[in-house]
Amino acid sequence: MTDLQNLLYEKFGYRNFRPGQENVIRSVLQGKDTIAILPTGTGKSLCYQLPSYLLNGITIVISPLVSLMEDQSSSMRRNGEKRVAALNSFLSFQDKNRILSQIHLYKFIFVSPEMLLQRKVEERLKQLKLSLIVVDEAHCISQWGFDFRPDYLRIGEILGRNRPPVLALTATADLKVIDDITKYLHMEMPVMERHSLDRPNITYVVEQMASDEKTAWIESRLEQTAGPGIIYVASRKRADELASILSRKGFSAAAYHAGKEQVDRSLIQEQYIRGEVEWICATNAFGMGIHKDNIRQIIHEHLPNTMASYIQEVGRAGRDGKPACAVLLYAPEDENITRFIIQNDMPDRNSVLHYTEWLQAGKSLTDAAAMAGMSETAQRVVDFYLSQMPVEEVCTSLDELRKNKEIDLQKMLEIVHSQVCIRKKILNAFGERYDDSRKQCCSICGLTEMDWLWKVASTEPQRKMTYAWEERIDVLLGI
Amino acid sequence: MELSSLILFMVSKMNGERSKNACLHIFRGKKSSQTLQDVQYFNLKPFFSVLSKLDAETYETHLYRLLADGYVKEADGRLYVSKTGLQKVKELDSCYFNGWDYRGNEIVFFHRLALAIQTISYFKEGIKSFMPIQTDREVQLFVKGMARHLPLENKEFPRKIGGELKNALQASGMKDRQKLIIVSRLSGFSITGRTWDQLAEELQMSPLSVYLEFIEGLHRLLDVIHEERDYPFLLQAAEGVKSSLYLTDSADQTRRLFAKGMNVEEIATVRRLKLSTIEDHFVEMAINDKTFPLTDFVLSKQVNEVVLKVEELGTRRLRMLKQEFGELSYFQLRLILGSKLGGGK
Repeated sequence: MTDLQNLLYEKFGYRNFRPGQENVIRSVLQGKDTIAILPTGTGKSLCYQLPSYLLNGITIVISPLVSLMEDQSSSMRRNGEKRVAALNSFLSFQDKNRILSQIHLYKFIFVSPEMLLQRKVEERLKQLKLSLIVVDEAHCISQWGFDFRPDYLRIGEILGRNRPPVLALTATADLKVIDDITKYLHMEMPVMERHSLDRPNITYVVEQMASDEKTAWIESRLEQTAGPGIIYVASRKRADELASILSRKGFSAAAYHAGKEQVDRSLIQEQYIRGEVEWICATNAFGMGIHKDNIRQIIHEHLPNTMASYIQEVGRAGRDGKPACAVLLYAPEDENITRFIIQNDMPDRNSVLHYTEWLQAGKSLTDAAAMAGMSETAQRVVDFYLSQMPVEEVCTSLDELRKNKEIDLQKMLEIVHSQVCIRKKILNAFGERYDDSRKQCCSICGLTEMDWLWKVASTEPQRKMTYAWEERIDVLLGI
Repeated sequence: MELSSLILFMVSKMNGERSKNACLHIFRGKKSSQTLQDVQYFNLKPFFSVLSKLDAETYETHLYRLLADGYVKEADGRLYVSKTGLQKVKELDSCYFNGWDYRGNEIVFFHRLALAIQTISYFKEGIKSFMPIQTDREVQLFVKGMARHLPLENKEFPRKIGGELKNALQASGMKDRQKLIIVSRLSGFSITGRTWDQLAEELQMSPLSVYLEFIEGLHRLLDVIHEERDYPFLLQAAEGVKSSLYLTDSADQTRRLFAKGMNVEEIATVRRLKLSTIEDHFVEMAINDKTFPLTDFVLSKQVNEVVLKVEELGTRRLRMLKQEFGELSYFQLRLILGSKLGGGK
């Protein structure tokens, strides 16, 4: 047993590393910048936790999603590592000050990119001895990525040249995204650890139908096939609507999206993980940080913007290694709906010009953005570009960006209309070869031996969920 | 319980005296002098801050329903109650909000209660680490402090807490449905709380109505907890929840700026007041507000030392204390005395 394995056992209770982990850890320990592309659910967080224990100093983890940050920091606390702090914009003023004033006492500091940009935070972090900087979900840095966060672009600037090694973690990245990660994080000859994106136990299915047939299809699917599952939909409104249709029909379903209050979101997650609710109707807000191994089906009711987001969402199925199924429901008009959503997110030449005119006329950033009809995200993207280059170039870059989003969409459409193996198409899109053939592969290769999917005639009776109030208190407290 | 009924009741009180946004401001607990006067003058204190996150759209939808049904009329930008509206008001069930005393803090109480119950429930099963249903660190730290003094290892303890909760809910006089709503929001080892949507579905009510009944239920529960001394556990969870904040307007303005994240100097600049005036406001806050974050200004170690010294010397005179604690400013000393000992000399 190596020293690393000893530490792995001592700190985390595992005997062996999962594929990729050990290489990443060794590279980090040698002080090299590292990019790790590992599928979700393969223990990415261990890649920084373990080396941190061998490094003398503080580890900063930059993380784009507050929920993800909370999830990781509280799971570390539960596992006995109390020197964890999470700095994000949801903290109260007092909390933020409390954490900042004792920040040197922590070993792991999770921070959102917005927070990192605050001068007070930046200055405080500069006084610390940092041993490792982790950029989680690093694909967010790429303007070609599906989750582009302009704030991420500034991480490189803030870190400066004299910095500890950077570890960039992501589940999905094609070559363009990897280029961006390297460039914007100012990484020097990064070591690359990448693991195949292929998930052999997931079967890919595309179902063509008319839009108004989708609800009925989902209903009969839920009636006949096995859960638990996630149904991804295009909007918050649709998530609520579908969940309420399904629960009225007697299915165990609930909606999840960022418009729900925080406690309700935790409750839904908890109910889902425990199996108290079987199906989640969700926007793309659901998924990151959810540890549920036995998800059997992912259904997409809408056409995702990019292959990367599709793969990430689908990858939540079958973490237990047992067969799982991903179904994409496609109606001809979906192409234009998704295109509209993408283009709507992207400011065009006119709105950029309007925006700069309003700014010159002395309007505030927010007012100018509102008058130019730009969303908040669009404004952040444009602000970043404007700070880097002249207006004309900004417009050209945005045109370029729009073209690339269209290319992403076309790749997604290739899957939908594919005449060859869907798995092969997906893997090829990420630069991987696939010439294998296996059973339960995809709807093109043929869906044989899918017996597992069908519901067994009598499911066991549902656990009783409704109680009288006094009875519920007894159940709560185990009296 | 419908939002529109509450609006109708409030309009009947302010009949023709106020514009349509007056009710919205009261629901949201706006601390403008106008709204504060309104709730006093029209006897609407119970509704103050009952729905702090009410959005204008929802409010207007309910108001328009009243206008469409002819219960309320709008003229010259003011709202009047009609004859049929008045009749309707008489038929309304009485309600027992106490927004003036709790001001949205009932939610803080509930979050603490929920986390404490979850903790007790898991400890009963011998599980000491679990995913807390409350992610708010403030709440987590509070409950952690609370748990330190609870006999979590005692086998009989959960039964005792269950009994206390049942008795308090019973004594509060709320409807059984409200008791069910409140306990359904709690989570434990073998059962997870229900979301607003799920409760609405199960009780065949709108989510907003469920929420209103929940808030009213909490107000009644908190009233009972504060009036009778039979609920030590619940009273602990309710610490600082009842508003004793009767600050002068000027101090309250300072308090609001502070809540937005400004420090003493910034507030003095913004308000164009002398630093010493703003410091007086902070001392006033320290005296009146049990949740005043004293440790933002001094270390808790220093607080303890000053409190001990005051006891030892038998004096609260600032000059004498200043001689003992040269490293603390007069301002810091006054904050400590205000927060811990109700003021200095």
